[in-house]
Amino acid sequence: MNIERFQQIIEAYGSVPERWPFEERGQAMALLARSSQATALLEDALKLDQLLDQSAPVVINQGLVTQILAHAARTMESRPVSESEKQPVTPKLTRIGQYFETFLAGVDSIDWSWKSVMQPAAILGSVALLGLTTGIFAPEIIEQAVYGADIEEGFWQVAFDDSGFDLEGLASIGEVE
Amino acid sequence: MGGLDLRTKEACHVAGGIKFISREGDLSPLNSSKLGDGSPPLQKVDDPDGDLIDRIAVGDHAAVRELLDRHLPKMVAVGRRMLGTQEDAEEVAQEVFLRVWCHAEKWVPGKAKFATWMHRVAMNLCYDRLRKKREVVLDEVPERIDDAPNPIQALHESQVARRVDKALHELPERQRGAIILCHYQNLSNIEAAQVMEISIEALESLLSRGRRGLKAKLLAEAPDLVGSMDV
Repeated sequence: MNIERFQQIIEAYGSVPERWPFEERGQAMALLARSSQATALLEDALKLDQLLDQSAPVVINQGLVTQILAHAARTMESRPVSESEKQPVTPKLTRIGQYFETFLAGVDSIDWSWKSVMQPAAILGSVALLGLTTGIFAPEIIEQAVYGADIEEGFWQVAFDDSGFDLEGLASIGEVE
Repeated sequence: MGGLDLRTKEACHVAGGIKFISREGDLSPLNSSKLGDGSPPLQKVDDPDGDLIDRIAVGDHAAVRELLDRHLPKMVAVGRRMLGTQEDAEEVAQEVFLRVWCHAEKWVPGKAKFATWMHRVAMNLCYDRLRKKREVVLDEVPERIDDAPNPIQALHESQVARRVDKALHELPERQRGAIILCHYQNLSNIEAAQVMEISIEALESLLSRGRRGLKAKLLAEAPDLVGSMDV
């Protein structure tokens, strides 16, 4: 290292070697040990460093600490829960399916005296009820875009699927993607 | 302390010109591709705060306190020396730590020290505030409370401190920032250059001009300040 580079270092970083560029520190120290000119430059920089060190000390108010800790607590509480912590989603359409399943089980358990007539009638009534329910809730549900296009498709599938009322399938339609 | 309104949810989403290191890396403020020509190369760093950040990310309140103890004085110091008032400094420190709480779980270790990122956030917040206050001329650095036991010594120290802080505050922002980071915050030249998004050469230029300016103000105008310090 030559004296010019040493001067640049001193003028930029001051007199404290710990602030000098790490990779040049050794060479600068070696030059300082053998050059009176380098020593004079260092002493000159030291005067300014000592003045800078007289800057007012930093004051930390306890109120600030309390306020920041409160922010931290609020932030941590407001963080979204992880996937593993989430409760199972029970969308409206799934609940409708569950209610309907319960209703059909109830219909099947009744001791009908006119079973051959009443049971099919009850099934038809159930279909009508499902249609009515769909008519009432569908616009609102479809607005909930989170359920996606599968909802509308699901309704048509329930209404017209030859395989009948696949309630398990119905329940899965409303699951959030 | 000022009436800083930091409602958690909103504040977490305030960009304020500040980005933090994302998992993708392309938003990284310390990404070498974002720095100017000749900027210091980024290497894998051993971060002394890494463990604390991991613990904060999973909601460890003891880690929050530890990080606060470790870095709050530094953040307040940056704010006070950049902005000149304790009130502004405390608001900046609050905002820095709010971003820490918000983003701790997304921090990607290895590219830079967390403390370097915190300094970057603090400096950018200071620049934002200075930009907003540019039309206000600060003629005088506000009084500070000094609790030193000897009144005469305290008076002298207070006068010297005020002269130093005033001289520092009168420097151009970038020169002041460079001196604060290297002299007061003890960042290495590489870290300071990363915080300021400049090359090492540019940093050295700012430091040299800043120190020259301070020397002209403090040593030439008030040699008694130096003489009283047994140099």
